[in-house]
Amino acid sequence: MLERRFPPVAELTVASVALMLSGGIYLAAHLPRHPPLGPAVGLLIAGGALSLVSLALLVRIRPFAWHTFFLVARWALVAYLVIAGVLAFVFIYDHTRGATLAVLLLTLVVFACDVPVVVAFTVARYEDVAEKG
Amino acid sequence: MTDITHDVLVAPPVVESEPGAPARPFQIVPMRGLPIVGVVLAGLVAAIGANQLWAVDFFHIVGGGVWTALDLFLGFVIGPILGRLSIPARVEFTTRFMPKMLLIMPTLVTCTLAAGWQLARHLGDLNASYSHHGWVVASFIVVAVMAVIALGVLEPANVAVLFELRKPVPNGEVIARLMRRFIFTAGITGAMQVATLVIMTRLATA
Repeated sequence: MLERRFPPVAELTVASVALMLSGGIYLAAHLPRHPPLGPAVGLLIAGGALSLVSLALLVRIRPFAWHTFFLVARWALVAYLVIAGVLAFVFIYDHTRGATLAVLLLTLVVFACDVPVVVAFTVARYEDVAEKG
Repeated sequence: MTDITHDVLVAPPVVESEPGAPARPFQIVPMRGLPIVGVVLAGLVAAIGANQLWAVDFFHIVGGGVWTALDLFLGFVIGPILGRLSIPARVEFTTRFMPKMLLIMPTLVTCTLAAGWQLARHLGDLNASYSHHGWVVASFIVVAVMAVIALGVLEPANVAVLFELRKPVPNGEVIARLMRRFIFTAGITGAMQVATLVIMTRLATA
């Protein structure tokens, strides 16, 4: 089981998380002013692209413990949507509006989707595929 | 956002494969703790919504203090002690401890960050014109580094170890491989927590 090689799903997704956090820091460092959005949008697009590539690699893995993957991903997604929701509430409450808010919210969405993928993939890759299918 | 050095305490390898050894049943996420998490997060939202300086200060100080203290204490005090325990004792501790941390750490981190943001806004620390704004941005960076380690490396390993330990015959090699992550990241995490203490005390006395 340990010898089996997997595509770099976790690595790509963690890189996406790092880009999302970088974008968040960039925006947070400028708030409450309106920052130039170019760098944050660039980071968002790059991170989103990494996440999509990661997902594309993930769905091609055969065989894989999809039951375990979705079991973990489902609950992790709920947890991180709650966390992202609390953070979004803070920004909205502080009157962040317009394009800045849109980029922040999209950044939080990608972040909240990335983390469950990393956690679920890490768990599922060590599951016995024959039993868990 | 599970943390960090608390995970070090279960390294190095925990379990040897013992064919036929029954695993103690345990919940990976302790469901009884969820209502408490809900109450804490509701309190956080209420504190922010009420826009009370004391309330957001409370959540930030309590959350941040407990987060940092837990991280350092578990990583550098409990961890080495646990490392000298027998393997069954370590497994027993891990299966009781890690599930709780899956609820405690994300809650603490969310409270600390959300309340800290509001506190900084209240005090004017977010303005670029604030003389110590650089320290505030530094704190963002420190948190981001810890978040990448916690979310990308440690939390997935935590959950994977718990799944492995729930199997009738846990694979010691898998657990050993996952646990190695904790050792590699312990130094970074410890440094980040110390940096957090320096930054926060600088800001508090600015």
